[in-house]
Amino acid sequence: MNQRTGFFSALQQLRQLPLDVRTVTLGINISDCADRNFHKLCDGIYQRIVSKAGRMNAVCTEVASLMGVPVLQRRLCVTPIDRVAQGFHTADFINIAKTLDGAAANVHAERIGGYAADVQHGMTHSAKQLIASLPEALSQTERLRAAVHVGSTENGVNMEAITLVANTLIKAAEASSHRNGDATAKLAVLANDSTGHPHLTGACLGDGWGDLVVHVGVGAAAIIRYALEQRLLEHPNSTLDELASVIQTAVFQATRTAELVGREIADRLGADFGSIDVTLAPTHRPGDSVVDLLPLLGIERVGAPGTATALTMILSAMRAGSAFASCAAGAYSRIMLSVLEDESLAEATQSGTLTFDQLCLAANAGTNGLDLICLPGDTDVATLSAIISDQVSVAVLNHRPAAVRLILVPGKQAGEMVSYSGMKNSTVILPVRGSGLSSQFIQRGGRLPPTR
Amino acid sequence: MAKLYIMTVVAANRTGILAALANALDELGGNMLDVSQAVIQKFFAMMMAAEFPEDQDPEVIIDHIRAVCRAFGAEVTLRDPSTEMGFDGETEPTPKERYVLTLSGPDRPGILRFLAHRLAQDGIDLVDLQGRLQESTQCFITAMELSVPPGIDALQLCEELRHEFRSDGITVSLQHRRVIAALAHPEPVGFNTAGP
Repeated sequence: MNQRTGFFSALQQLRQLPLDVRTVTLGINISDCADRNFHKLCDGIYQRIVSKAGRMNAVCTEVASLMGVPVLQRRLCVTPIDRVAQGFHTADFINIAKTLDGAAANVHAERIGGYAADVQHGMTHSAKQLIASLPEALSQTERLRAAVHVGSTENGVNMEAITLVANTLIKAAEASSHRNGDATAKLAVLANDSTGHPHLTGACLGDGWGDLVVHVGVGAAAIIRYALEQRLLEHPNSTLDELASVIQTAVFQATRTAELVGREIADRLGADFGSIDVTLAPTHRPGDSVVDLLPLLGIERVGAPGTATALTMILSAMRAGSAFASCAAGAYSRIMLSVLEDESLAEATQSGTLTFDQLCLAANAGTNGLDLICLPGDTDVATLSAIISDQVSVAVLNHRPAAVRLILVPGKQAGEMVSYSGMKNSTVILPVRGSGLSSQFIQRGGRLPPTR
Repeated sequence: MAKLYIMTVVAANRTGILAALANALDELGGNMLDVSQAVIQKFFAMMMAAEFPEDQDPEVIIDHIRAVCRAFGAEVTLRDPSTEMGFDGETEPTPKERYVLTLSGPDRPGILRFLAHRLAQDGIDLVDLQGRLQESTQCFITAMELSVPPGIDALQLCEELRHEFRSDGITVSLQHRRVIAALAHPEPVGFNTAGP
């Protein structure tokens, strides 16, 4: 009698799986809201968002309750605003930002992306105005997230745009200095995002999607951790390829669940189902971090030699598992080392086991650029530009998307602690070695040619 | 014309019981429409809906099956659903969602009683139930399929049951049948999980 049947064995595996959907992002096409009349433009954008996304929150809750799978975050993204709002000035763009923020609040979306400009070749008038509006737009709104696309493998890197964005970051930090420069956390510098990566922070509804599309994001850290713990309990001496298989299976399950939930939400909203992003970004649960997976694999602490190998193995297994699970997954899988959102990472940086240099190195091992890293408020423009261009150029060379989100903390120096409203962790401001030594390189301006 | 009966057979679980039962049904001109079988301890149990020729006497059906399955000590009951009382007469039931509820942990009395009462409160039907006690650890795992009326919040129900059983060290999970289908089958989602 104590021999388990296949049925019970299967249930044993399924029970207690920490299945959830980290993000549901509703992409809304607002291209046809473009109008030379500013009030008509804002009104059109607001009405479109409210009419298309008005039921999103309720539908997400309904489907979560039906499936028994929590949906943790609801987001929106719209057509890039630099295309929709041609011919307007900085002050107008700030009002458009507030319109987007208000519409997102109306439909209870936690974030809205699409306040974005594509400047990989050069800058249109509206792109310049949008970038100029960012300090005020980001410091005077809550839900808005912005992005500037500065380079791609096909088109090279616009170094002058990077310098302009670095300048903008400094101004945004000053504009929100009373909140430790939190406006800078809302701006992402993107690379290889020509089609509008729907899961990057601040990303827009890119080309090639329909009028209304539902994307889902999966936080796979919890389910991978659970699966590894179960495996190691029964087989403590498992080899790396066996553990990679365990990760693949766990990611398969997480991806399938997310697709089921996403498709149901899309059906109920009358939207297309878009894509699935499997990521190791942290969630609100303690221990839900890629850092907590490393000790299970045998790396005692993040940053120790072997960290890059372990991250590469995890990413590779994630991609395999998600690609087998769904045709809509795989292309976006990545590891997010979001220091400010990740309790374990924040502790590692605080104790000095994880440095800025190691985070930069991790970008080459499958992470997605630099995410929510706090830097001293007096970091100069050239150093900021160089940090961004390092990440962008590596991504361009490796044909992968990247996002850089740096937080400049006005009035604070490396080693000081900083915390933000809405973020659960305090984190330490990281020192940047060699700060100020890249000025001449950055001042040359121009563009990096495409990668051949 | 055929007549429908609900039949149960309990017998010793030895090789050949199913063959003997199938022979008996065949000889009586019977036809199984729906069947569920389990082996518990050393006993074979089967419940089925079966059609027999209208002129076939129910006593003859029972006696013939008992006779053919005598070597297995079969006990047979036969009920005529058309004459049974106690059903609610619902002809077009409301569409319901199917979930699988699993509980596992240390065995303690009263778990099923609490569950059955709690589920009945929300009008939830328990349509299938299986359980095992692992003798070496004295831990049990039970899985039940639930038919849940519209409007029930599965997340909330699961959380409530987890809270109830947490102090006993019993883990609870509640998963929609479509989630289980999506995890269990490699076909693309939508191919096998479209309907409730």
